[in-house]
Amino acid sequence: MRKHERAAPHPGKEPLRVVNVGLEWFHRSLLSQGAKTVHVAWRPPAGGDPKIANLLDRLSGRTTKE
Amino acid sequence: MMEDIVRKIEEANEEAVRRILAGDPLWEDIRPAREVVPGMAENTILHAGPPIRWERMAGPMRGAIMAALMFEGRAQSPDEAVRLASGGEIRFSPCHEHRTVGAMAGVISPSMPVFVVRNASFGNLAYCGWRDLAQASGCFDELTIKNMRWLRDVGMPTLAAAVRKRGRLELKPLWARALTMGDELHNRVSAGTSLFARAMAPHLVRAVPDTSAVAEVLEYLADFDLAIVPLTMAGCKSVMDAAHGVEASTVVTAIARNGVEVGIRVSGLGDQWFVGPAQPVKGTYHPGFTEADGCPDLGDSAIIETAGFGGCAIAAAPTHVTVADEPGSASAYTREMYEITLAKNSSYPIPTLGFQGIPTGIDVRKVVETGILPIVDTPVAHKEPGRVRGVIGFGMSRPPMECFVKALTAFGDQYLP
Repeated sequence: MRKHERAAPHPGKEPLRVVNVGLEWFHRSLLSQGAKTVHVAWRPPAGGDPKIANLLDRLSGRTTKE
Repeated sequence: MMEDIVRKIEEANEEAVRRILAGDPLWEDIRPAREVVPGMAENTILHAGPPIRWERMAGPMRGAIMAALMFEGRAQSPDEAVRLASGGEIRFSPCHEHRTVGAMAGVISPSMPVFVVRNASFGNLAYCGWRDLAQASGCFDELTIKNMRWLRDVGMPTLAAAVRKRGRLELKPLWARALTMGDELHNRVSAGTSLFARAMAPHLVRAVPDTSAVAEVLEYLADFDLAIVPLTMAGCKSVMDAAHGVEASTVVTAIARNGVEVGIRVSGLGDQWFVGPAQPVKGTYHPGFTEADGCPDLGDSAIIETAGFGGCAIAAAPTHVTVADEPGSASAYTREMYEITLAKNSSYPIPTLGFQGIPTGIDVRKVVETGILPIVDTPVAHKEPGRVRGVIGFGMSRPPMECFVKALTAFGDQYLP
């Protein structure tokens, strides 16, 4: 039971450790509040444009590998 | 079918990158543009960036053209120069379309001497105009014209005599050494210019009996930190031109700015330009100036980044980070460039990154996929011609994504069934 409690950290009791994906502003905001965070600079391929993403797939061979 | 095109692109990119890595630029000569630049007629004026008409040109480009017309004796006053430039008699053309590059406004007229560089591995020649910061940033006053005449009549012929005496100057070892001495070869070039002066000094003395001319040239090299930049630009142009025209390659072979638009060219897409709006430059401005005073991104010098130096290699220039947007960002910029390039050029190791080679071969596909744009470190001209002698700051800029999306779309149209 005790082991289970430790595996699910309770905000406020244990320091937050955050992996932030995408918007860097969240990462900076948490940093400024003293939280431990790692930022992953991820953006959707081709800026999220499905037509360009499809073109990229065709020119990079990703579709053929699926 | 789709696997075929992917394999074809991979093989084409390997070939384009092989050519870049094998590039061996040698500075051989300085000659008047009219004698060596292909397609240079008496009424031709070359400019930086993709094609643009006089009516749409940015202020510094207009000012530099006015200076060129007065320097050539075709106009006696700024007003007369404007009338001539807007009258349709002058043919404006991008430097890049003439195997040439030009710094900032990039304006080259027929009697201006140009650096001549040969890529020894492939035999192709490339050219770059001199770098007079005042003219290149749009000044057209008497002092600017006087300095241009000194360059034409004394400075460049003296350097030309010295390089002919020397035979040639190999740029590859000079660039590699400068990178280990804190240069990134675009705007932090103190080491490169010093090495250049050191390499040329004895040949200047041996080749030119007029000691006052030799002294003036040595003073020019001592006073003008950026003196080596046009030579580096011509060298990079010779390297990237050799990688241009590889069927089905997605490697970027030119990034060029005219102050209104930025254009890129891609190895497998012939001589087409893919353009988007030039962006304001984020950076450090001289006291009294802000980003609002600056002309948007300007100049062919981004050929230096296209070859992997400059902003792409800025990790090599730790003292240059003050112009970047935050301390410590120099290494991050270069690391980011590895995400959008195909190889590392081990001829040019970066000491601060464990001697990894500079990022080489920008792939249009990688730029569009990651959303990471090439980074260029660049000087900024005032947007109003003649307002300021020289530049008003330095900073970091990126070409717009639009260029790369247009190129990728054109690539699909051309190569996909």
